[in-house]
Amino acid sequence: MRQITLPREGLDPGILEPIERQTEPFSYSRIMHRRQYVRALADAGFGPGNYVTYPDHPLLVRGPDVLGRLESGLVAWFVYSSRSANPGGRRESARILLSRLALPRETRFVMVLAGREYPAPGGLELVDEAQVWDLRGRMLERTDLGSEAATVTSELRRYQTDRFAEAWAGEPAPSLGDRQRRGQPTFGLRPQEFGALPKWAQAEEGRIVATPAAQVSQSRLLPQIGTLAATAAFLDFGLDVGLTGVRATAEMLTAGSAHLALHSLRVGHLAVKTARTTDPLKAYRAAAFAGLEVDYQEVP
Amino acid sequence: MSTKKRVATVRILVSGHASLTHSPRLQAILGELNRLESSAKVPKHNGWLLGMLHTTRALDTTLREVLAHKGWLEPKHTGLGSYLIEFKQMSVLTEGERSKWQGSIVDKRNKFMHTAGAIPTQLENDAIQSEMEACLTIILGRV
Repeated sequence: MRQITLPREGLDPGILEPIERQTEPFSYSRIMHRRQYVRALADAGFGPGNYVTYPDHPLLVRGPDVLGRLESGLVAWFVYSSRSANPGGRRESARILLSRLALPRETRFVMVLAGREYPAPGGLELVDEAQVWDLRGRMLERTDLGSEAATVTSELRRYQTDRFAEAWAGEPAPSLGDRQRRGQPTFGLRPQEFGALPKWAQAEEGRIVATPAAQVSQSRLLPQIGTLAATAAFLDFGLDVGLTGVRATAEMLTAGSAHLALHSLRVGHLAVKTARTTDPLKAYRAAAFAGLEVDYQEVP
Repeated sequence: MSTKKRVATVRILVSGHASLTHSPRLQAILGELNRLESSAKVPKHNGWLLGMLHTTRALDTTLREVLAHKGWLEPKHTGLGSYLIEFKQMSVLTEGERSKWQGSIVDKRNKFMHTAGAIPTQLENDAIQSEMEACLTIILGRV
């Protein structure tokens, strides 16, 4: 990977001041300043025109914070600038893993720690590299974390692809065979903690069954699908024990002693007429990618 | 998310993908994506048709270049439907996905591209365009 050229003077320190001053975790201005900061970091890291912040991937409710390209290929950044953010937590580890499964396999996954210290060791397991940047946008150090996460997630891809095809296109891939003979669902391998689910979703015998209201708009549905997708990924891939669980899941899938089972999203009909985004199917496609079989009837 | 953000995502994926970085058609594909972004400024129906045209040209050429890079391109591959069949035969897609995209992209797109007077509604246009972008992104994620 080539060395990134940084601006000699660094960023305008004023960009970060509001973030440092504020104590409210989710105020509008804090979010807007964070976005501005991430853009400035990406400008320094990739150069103008060579990146997109908060990319809109059709399979991901929340993908990486930055997707950029270097001479060596695609790079996905997960940026953590707050000391309270937990990169190894349920939502974040699911976000990184689903991104690894959705983006091209050559993509390099980088955790960017901006103005904060390293997370606990488990928080770094799913990325290929960690970079520490200061608040003025200068990279202080980079650590190569090896290729194990890439190898393990690469082994999962075929199973994830087949399950998505079944959940989204409704036809089992021939390689899936008879599920009954392929062991238990991966979500049954470990004790489960479902965490917070939307009111219209519950756990039934270990799987998620979600039935959103018929008229819910996509702009309201999408974040809730994000919660469901993170929970499903957390359960299906053993993320409660980090990369160890993902590796064990990959081994059992390869051995045929477990399978990636489907969860369920019963929407009745696709409420695309109330969509606010220009991708009317995004919520359902992203749900299917996380293993939620989308059961619906199209509105004529 | 806006069309602009989706197109920007596709642009980075296409320009940074190992199968396309040395393609002689890369600049032409990126040009189509730039025109797609501009077409969002054209009012209503004309803009939707233009958007569909540029998206389909970007999709068709990208998939053709990926097939060529992989050594899978044959003379029988003359359009999107045949590209999808080839990707299915090479196990990049399942038959279910190929069939779904044949219905949601190829057939619907052909109706608007080849029939005089056929104009999509905004919803039809959004659905076809986003499915085309999803098809492109998903295939690039797997090859």
